[in-house]
Amino acid sequence: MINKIYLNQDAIRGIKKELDTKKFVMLDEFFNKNFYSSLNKEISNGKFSKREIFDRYSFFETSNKKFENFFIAPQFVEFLEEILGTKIKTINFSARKFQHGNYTLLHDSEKSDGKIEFIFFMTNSWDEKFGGSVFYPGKREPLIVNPMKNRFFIFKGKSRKFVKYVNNLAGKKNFILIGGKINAPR
Amino acid sequence: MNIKKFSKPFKTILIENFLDIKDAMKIFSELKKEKFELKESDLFKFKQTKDLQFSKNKILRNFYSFLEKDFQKNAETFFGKKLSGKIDFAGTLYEKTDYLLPHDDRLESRKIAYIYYLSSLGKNDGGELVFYSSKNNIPIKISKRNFPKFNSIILFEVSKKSFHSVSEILKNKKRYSITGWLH
Repeated sequence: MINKIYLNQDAIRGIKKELDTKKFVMLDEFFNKNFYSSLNKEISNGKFSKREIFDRYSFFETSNKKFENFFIAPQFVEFLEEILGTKIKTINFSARKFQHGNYTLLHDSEKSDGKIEFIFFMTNSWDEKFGGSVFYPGKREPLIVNPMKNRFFIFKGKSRKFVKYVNNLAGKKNFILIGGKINAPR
Repeated sequence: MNIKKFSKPFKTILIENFLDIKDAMKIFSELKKEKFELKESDLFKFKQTKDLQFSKNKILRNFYSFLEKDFQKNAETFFGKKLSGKIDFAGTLYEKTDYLLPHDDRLESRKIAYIYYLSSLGKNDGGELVFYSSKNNIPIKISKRNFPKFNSIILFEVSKKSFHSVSEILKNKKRYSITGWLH
């Protein structure tokens, strides 16, 4: 399922080192083509319903939990455990679709829960000028993760995040953001 | 001058033909000479000048003085709020894809928000000021849309209920205004 370029021991050591030093790592072309295609089919067939609280967020979410099976496969969990150097207890998932007019905002009442989290993007084509980038505000510069087909991103920091407003340049295009919060000892 | 008052979703006053048209044109012309810088966060993307009460431009400073002296008294009467005299006063420019997402404006000592429009935009342009009705201090529904009209000013009280936004500019149009708060 995972692209084999990420599975040899040298690659895993490199990813682990990067994660330990930078607190994040971004892996493109993460799953192999067949697996991505199956996952995309499963997600795309699910019904997405609008979730909106105007001063907090606006996006679509699926209640179809079948996609979670793809992410609790032994190979994926073992990969995570190797790069994180820890055993994983559970993962809390969400699958959200963003299109023109969608966003999430930082909110005073919301604090970082300090959990390690990952993001996986699914989209046919996306341009950062459409918005939709995930921002982790920092003391100086924010960490920005742009949606890209088959991009996997894992974050060990403690910052909160927001998804930038998707503007009308996106037209009818959208992306799906699969989020995972990992319950594991640090 | 045409004055409209609203109490829902929160206390608002809209004044059309606010200034003599020649004065409005002068202010607009001078405002465009100011430097606008991109401001961006989770909540907004637009361009803004520095606080113009200290501008070298006399016409803009005169407009600030008018708001500070004469206009503020009327605002105090209408809103029934005692104001401190402090006014924030900056030029704001929204261009294509710029926006301001829903929020209530509550910060520090802000009491009344104002927007003096120096552009007119239509229904398909975007850029309208959107007001939300709220329940338990959570915005639940779009209640009103105010389309920018040149030389009109809109003021509303800042409170736990004053949820509003500026919708994204959809066309290649510029939405100029002078905005700020009476404290």
